[in-house]
Amino acid sequence: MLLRVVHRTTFVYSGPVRDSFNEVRLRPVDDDRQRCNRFDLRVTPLRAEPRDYEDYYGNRVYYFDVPESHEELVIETDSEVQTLANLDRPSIPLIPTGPNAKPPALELHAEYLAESHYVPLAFELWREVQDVFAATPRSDLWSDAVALGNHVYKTFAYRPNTTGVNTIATDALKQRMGVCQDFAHVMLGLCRQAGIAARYVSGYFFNDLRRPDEIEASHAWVEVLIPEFGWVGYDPTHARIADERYVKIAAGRDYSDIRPISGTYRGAPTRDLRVEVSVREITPATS
Amino acid sequence: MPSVAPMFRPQSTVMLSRVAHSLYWMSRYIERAENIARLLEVNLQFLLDFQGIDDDSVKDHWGSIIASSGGGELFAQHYDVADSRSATSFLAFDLRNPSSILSCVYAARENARMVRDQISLEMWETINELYLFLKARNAAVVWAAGANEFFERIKQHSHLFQGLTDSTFSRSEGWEFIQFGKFLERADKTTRILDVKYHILLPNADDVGGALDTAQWQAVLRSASALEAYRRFYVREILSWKAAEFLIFSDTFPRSLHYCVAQVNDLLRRILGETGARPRSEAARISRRLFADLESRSIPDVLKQGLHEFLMEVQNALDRIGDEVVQTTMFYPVDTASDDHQQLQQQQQQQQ
Repeated sequence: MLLRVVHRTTFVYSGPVRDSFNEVRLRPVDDDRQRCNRFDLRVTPLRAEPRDYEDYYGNRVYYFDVPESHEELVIETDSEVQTLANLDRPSIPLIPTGPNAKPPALELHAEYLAESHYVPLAFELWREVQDVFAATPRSDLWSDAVALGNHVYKTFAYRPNTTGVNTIATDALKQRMGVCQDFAHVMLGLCRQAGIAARYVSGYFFNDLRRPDEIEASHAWVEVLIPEFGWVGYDPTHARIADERYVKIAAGRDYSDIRPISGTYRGAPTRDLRVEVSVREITPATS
Repeated sequence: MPSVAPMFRPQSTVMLSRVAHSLYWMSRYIERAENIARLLEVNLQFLLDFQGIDDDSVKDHWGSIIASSGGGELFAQHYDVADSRSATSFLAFDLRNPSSILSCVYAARENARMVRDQISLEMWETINELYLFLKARNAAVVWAAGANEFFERIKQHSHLFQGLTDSTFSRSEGWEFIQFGKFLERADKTTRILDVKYHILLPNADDVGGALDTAQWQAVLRSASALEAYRRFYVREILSWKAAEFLIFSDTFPRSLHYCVAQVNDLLRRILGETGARPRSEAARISRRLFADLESRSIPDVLKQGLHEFLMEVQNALDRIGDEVVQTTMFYPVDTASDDHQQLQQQQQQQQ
């Protein structure tokens, strides 16, 4: 699928600010499931070109600073991404996880099994895992992960404005509601407690069933490691595999590793934060 | 399946801004010292040739050189008469003049000292040697011994330094700042060399093209080491407007404005990371505008505007480019009067 993504973030401060230093993780990746044909980053005000580096997780990070006094900061990206068609995607191999299966060697991916800021390895999560597999016994790695993701989908309510950007998995678990960020964190907690290496993915998805008034925003889902095959994405918010409609930007242990925009500045607090995201399909006639 | 092989990450090319600052100024000061040395040497020779000629334009020659160097006011504060001794003293040895040869070499050496770990040993030793040589001598001794030898030494050290930089300094971001400083300074000095002729009292109508006028333009070309190159460009006599055209518009002579600004423009692209067709920064904007002017305008154009006015315009543009680059890449002006020093986090957005 050929998709065009425009993402604009506007910070309006309640007074003049300066010495603003920011990092953004907004560039769609190039991998075996998608290719970013074009990525434009525009920042206002900015005197010099943003520079970039690759972080530990392989995410491309753009950084820039605005030292002079300003009252508004606009960060806008415009990308064109080609995602691999569904029928071209290889099928996921079966890695048995039943009672007699040999556990896969995952030392190289220890960070995706360990505790992290948003995903503590709490007892409540372990308890939940036991409940899920009591109902649906473990069979193979992918099916197990899907079972956990489905569980989140079925037992959680999607309710915006009930959690915040700082809500961790255990708090979301208590409430049983949240948004995709929370769904992803909870699924990660379950996977990790089940010994399944999984990571947090940020990106966008093309909502072909979008209502005109539905908010578009940056999206989050989970990728599960299938040994000797690779990372496969599963979206617990919609109970489906991350298919050609999904545009991946960055991956990490949890939200704190992939913050789309992070930074510091000196001066007045933020009065208003506006985010506008639009994901459209480019068909040959309408590019 | 994506490879998980360990990746060799190339060494970081990020540089401290104070290192950029020191390399930039070290380069500018050396170029400045060399240019002043050449300017003084050529004009001392010129006036020796014309000794005894009772002509206002000759008498005022030193005044015009000091005026075009931008030190007119400062000179008037400390000296009464503009003659060869006072001008040389002011432009070469006077530490009260921040652009005297001595001041420039001292400043270049100080900047080099601050980045000693970035430059090669040979580069450091060259500057340090020149500094020690200058420090040990005083003006009177040098003057008595023969000013020529003095200027030769400055030029030679500058050339040696540039040659060593070329062969021992890695082609990194630091290299770009050194070249940027050099060409920016060189362009500025070329405008001042050309401007000398403006400050000389306009000759009488009969004198235009005459021996004195020609000799003065010859001195201008020699001040830029351009006489031989000019002669390859225009074989016949030295015409004032042809000499000006050569020093402004030649795209092959390395001291001409066009050539220097072309280098500055190119280096700015790399320094500021400007890869787009349209400039993003103020420095790049001014630089491209200046380069476009030098690419497209002609000498009749410039003469119609007025050579002096044109040169002032170029100088202003060069000044602003330098200031903007320093503010963008090295040190931006800090508003210390502001009392809110609290550092805040940029607000985060939850992923929906």
